[in-house]
Amino acid sequence: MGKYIVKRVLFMILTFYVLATLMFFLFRMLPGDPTMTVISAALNPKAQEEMKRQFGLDKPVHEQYLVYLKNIALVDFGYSFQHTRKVSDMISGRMLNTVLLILPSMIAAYALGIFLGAWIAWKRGGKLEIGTVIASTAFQSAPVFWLGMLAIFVFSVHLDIFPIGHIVSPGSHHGKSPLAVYFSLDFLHHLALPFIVNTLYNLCFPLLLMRSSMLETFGEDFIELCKLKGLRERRIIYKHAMRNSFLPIATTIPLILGWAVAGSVVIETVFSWPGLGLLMVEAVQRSDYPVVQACFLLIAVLTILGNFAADLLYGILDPRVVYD
Amino acid sequence: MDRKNDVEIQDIAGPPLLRMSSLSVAYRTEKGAVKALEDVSFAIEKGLNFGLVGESGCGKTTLLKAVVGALPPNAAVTGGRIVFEGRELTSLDNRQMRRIRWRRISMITQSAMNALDPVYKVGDQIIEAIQAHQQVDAAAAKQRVEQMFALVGIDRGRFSEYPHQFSGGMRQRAIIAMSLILEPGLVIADEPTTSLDVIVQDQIFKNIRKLQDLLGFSILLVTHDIAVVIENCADIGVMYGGKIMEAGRMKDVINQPFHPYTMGLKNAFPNIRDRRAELISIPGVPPSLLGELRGCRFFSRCPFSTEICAVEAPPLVEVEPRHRVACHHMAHAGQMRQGAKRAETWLSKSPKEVFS
Amino acid sequence: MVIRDFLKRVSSSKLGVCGLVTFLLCVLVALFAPVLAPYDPMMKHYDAANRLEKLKPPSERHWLGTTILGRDVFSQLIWGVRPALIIGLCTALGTIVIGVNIGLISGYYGGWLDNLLMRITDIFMAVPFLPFIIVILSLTGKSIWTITLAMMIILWRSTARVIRAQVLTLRQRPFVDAARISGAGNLKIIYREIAPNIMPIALVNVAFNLAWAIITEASIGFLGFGDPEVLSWGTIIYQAFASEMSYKAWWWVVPPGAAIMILVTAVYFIGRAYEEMINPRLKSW
Repeated sequence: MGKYIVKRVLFMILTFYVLATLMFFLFRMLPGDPTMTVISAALNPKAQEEMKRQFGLDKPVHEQYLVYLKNIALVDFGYSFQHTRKVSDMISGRMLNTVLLILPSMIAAYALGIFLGAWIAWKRGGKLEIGTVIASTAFQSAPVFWLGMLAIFVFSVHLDIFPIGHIVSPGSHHGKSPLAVYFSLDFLHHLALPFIVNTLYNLCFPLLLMRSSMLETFGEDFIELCKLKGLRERRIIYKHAMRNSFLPIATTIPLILGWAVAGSVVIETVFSWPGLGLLMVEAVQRSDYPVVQACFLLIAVLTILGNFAADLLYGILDPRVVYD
Repeated sequence: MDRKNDVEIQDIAGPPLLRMSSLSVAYRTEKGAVKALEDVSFAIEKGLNFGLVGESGCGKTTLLKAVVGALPPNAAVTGGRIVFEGRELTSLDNRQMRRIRWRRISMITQSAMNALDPVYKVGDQIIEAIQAHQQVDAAAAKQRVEQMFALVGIDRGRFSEYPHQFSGGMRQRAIIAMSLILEPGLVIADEPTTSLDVIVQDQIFKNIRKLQDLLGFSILLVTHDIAVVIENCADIGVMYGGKIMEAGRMKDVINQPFHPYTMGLKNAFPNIRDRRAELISIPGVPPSLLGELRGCRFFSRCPFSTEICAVEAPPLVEVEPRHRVACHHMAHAGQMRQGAKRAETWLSKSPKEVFS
Repeated sequence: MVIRDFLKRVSSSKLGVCGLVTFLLCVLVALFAPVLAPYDPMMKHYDAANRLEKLKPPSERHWLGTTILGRDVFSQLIWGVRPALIIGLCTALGTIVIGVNIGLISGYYGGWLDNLLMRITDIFMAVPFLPFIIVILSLTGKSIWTITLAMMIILWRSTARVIRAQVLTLRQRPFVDAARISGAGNLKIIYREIAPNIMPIALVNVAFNLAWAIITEASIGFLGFGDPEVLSWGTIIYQAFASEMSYKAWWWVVPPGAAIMILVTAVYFIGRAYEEMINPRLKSW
């Protein structure tokens, strides 16, 4: 197992490295002066010169590249154009906000999706199965931002059960420590609707996948033998069929993660949730390239870590996996 | 030949372990009713092995499923009974059947290679079989499993291994161990050695017979390979087209067959003593079992069939004690046996043999 | 031949037929948009007193009401089919061309080429696709072609993987050996023998890629990164959202989203019906 982990960790680092390099070259491919992606044009020329030297932008490209990598390793993403603040200061809180919304919601979506998918496969045939398949397909075909807007429309605007957006009520968090804010009822109240929408939207895919996988597993020989052994049906479904059906699905976790991250950008926009996704979108709109780059790299890190966790999970669940 | 095969030595005492009486099973399909089994009757005696022989599609699998109550939803028992250890299986609901499954009737399936769940340890899966039927704690169950492993020839240490870590032969032995762990009265072996070579096949059967001496169960051996059945069973039933064509004691049926199909099956089995003898196969394919069927099922492929065979289905009658046949021309069995030995009989397209 | 087989398979399932019919209807709407739309989607409407008819609820004259700039929502909805289908189909087909070829070559040749291509695919799969597309668009500018290209760069990876897996199993089959013995060169084997056999899987992939592309394009539009010259459904919702009046004008928001949902659902049904024919155990209806 140890060797496997080491191998995956190395691959993670490689992936990140490739992405970081890709970012470096992509931004330098902009027409015009490439340094404009690093230093704000709004600064006076003297300050620009100063920054150029600081970021080594007067040096040849390969040296710039090394400086760039070093900075990333030190979590120094430069300065935002808009606020001339250090990007790293802006990001830390945002990252937590994104994780707090997306992580629990994805775990809930996956877990619910799998159990519902298994249950539906068991209840083979009949209107319930067909209805669920159609409803799940339709639900995951609808754009999640539209679903979010509909939810806000019904539950916030009309029924006034939930707030319309944002993470806390304005003014309510002054004077409180961040920890107190995150544990407050107000936070949970704001978290509720985006969490519900994101969870419901993301459970459709695992549900449908699990159903397919279960139907395939039902035809396997060892399930036949379980029946002949005289085992209870529930045991066959949940202990044998599910465990085996889950394996091919576990390999799709990275795919779902990609969707989750994409969804996070959109969900944060709809609900004005101050996370990485929203920050990135706003930064792109104002061409604040250092922030864009930093957001992207951080989102990539989260995705890569998520993939790694999924790989580990698969390794634990399938005894046939050989750690080479 | 040991005791399980030689009926002379064994006294048949008491009622049979399993008696199937006129069992009929039909499937509902889009095209209509398919009569998979019709009027099937035979008996398996305690301590003796019964071999059921027939081509694929003759209904063997349906019969097995009917015995363990595992018929698919679109199939139904349309007549007859199965009485096992005094209980009528056809009248039991699923819950009651579940209690009998594995405890009293177990099965060694055709595809032992994939019969084990790949994500659980082998030992645990056998314990699961025990605990599904008996109140035994894990430690005691583990002990029993290890004892059984020793009996079938699996190393004790393998208890905590996964199926993929077992070789093919070991998996087969694990399946056998699992099927015997509750010491059932009847073990059904469904083509247990089709995918294995003859030497392994022989070893496995020797193993099973050794266990039989120890534990005293009967085997219902279902196969298309008549050689395996001859070697291991005391009684035999020959099935074709969902019906029993001939059934009785092995020695009687094999040495003096009365049904043309049985004679044909014998031909397809290489005779090591007479290497000059040709292998003669029966040309043609089994009939469709859809809709109403008239006459003998074997009519179209039988070299001795006459008009009556096309119109009237022959009844299963006793030709000598414990030997029954369903053939209109069983009185001419001697002649048929002679004719069956010649290849031309089976291959000729000319008018069928007329009995002198 | 492939088309006929495809139609036969899809129509074997009721859902598949529904999907196909819906999809064809959308194609018709796209083709006849100028005729079907009552007004020019960009035209601002004024009432009798020469006031801008902004945010008017559905009425006889405007079946789905108007936007904040007084434009007819229904006409916008009709015209929105075109970008959805054009971008979606271009992306899906382009992806299939790239993905199938890479999958074929990688699966057939194996060795270092396969390894290299698969490592590259692995790395691409770790990329969060929407942020990546956004970054690219921020650098290249927003047009339907840059959007299509950005999506294709992301999408080819899963198609390549799936095709490669299929090729790996096919490569062992006797017919490949037979072809080789009869003197066929590698390329011929790949494209004459193996390729036709992966067509079913490839077609299923086309359907799912199309669905993905339509949704992703809508998301891009919603975030404001759509082509400013083109009015796609996502962009319509973006405009509603950006106006901050969206919650007062449900008629502006609900129809475009519903349209996306209906079109994508139809595509999924088609894809799934086709897939069920390959694997009948999944059949539900």
